[in-house]
Amino acid sequence: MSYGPIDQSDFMRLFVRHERDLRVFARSLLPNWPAVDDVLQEASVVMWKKLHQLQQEEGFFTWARVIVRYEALRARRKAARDRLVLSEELLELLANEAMPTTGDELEKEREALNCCLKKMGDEQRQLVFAASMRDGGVKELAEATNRTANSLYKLIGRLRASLRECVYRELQTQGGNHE
Amino acid sequence: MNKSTEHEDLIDRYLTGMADEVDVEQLEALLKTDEELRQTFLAASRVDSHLREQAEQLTLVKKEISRPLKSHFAWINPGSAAGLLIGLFSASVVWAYVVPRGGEITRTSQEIVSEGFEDSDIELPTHLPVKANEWCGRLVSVTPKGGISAFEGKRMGRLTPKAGNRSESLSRIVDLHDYPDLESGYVRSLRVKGSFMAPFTGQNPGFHVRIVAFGQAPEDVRQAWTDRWNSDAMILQGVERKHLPEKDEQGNWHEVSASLEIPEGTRSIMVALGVWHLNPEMSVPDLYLDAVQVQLVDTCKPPAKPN
Repeated sequence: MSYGPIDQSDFMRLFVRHERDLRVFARSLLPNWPAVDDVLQEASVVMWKKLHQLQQEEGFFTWARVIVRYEALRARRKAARDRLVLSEELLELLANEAMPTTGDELEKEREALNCCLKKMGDEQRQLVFAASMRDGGVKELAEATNRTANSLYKLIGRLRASLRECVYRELQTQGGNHE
Repeated sequence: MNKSTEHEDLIDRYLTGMADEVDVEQLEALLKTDEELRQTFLAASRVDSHLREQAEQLTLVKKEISRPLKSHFAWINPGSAAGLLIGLFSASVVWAYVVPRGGEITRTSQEIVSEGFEDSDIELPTHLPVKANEWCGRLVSVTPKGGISAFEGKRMGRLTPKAGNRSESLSRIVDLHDYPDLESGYVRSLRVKGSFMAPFTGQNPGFHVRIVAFGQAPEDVRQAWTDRWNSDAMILQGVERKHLPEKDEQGNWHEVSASLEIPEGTRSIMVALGVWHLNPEMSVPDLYLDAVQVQLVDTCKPPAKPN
């Protein structure tokens, strides 16, 4: 723990330490991963510029989340005409309600997800990852396996739902404080 | 399908990019009024994030803060499956790092060019390069004057745009035949970094680093570049990072970097570092370049299956 001004080398260390959790927060406010990456990049630059505002390392995550939230809302305003994104009003609501989740809780969720993924078969795991890898991943897989993209998405949807259910059960078993 | 499953399905369609306008409208209305569903949505988005992290570990999706911004992307060669990607980075601090995930990623890097323009006698051809390993451009080596310092060393390069030009760059071809073949299981990237400065003169230039992969031999790259508008096959892939300094930060050195994962079939890579956004109506400004580095980075792919 540091009780002095945060310098640039501290910033890199802190940002790298918290980047995954900041991405989780940004994901709850943004419609897709490219948007998350863009907002994280913009936010990191703002953090760098405003580093003088931060006096203690322990406040970094909270401070960084405020900046990510602001940048996510700003990105939403830029996409005002896009009808495939949620409204700014709703994003404010989600941002407020996402706040209580701590890094420790997220780590427990990751561990639970790992347990659940291990319980899946290789093919099921590949399908779930295909939807998370990149745009077009499912379509490519559909072509490779002679299925329609729509049927594959439905299957992936069911697998993702069962994964979420499994994560929830794992957290309950571990005594985690899920939701 | 019961309501709860239906709502989860809706959330999932949104998170996987499959939702249409009607879906998004419905989801918006539901989330606004149902606190429990908002918690379900937040939990689903967290699991989606964790899955993405896992997928990144498996597919080695590199995360670099300095990657081009999607919102400013434009395909220069829209007819090509792999065109030239343009990114604009509008802030004044640019840095890059790579976060290894999962402890399974190994990288080796080889510095193939390190240029500080310390040679006072440097004389460069001003045309596009026609052979590998030669800098080309309107650049001379100068000693810093008037309170300016070199970024490193005692000298730096000064780019001198031709009067009336909107841009100017220094370029070079890297011939992959000069380097060992890529080992099985590795992917190879080319990373380019340079530091730029433009003292305040009324101009407000931007800086760019461009990397373009070609299937052609070095001597054929110039023609391929010239013909890029006419044929989809000329450019295998390319990336350009543009950095526009804020006006109050002109006079500082700005480090700009870019990285390109080298596509299969690449023989030559053209690297260019330069300035753009010059106002041809105004006098030619002093533009400086220093500490240029080009690296080949080989990265070992992690195993295809999770533990």
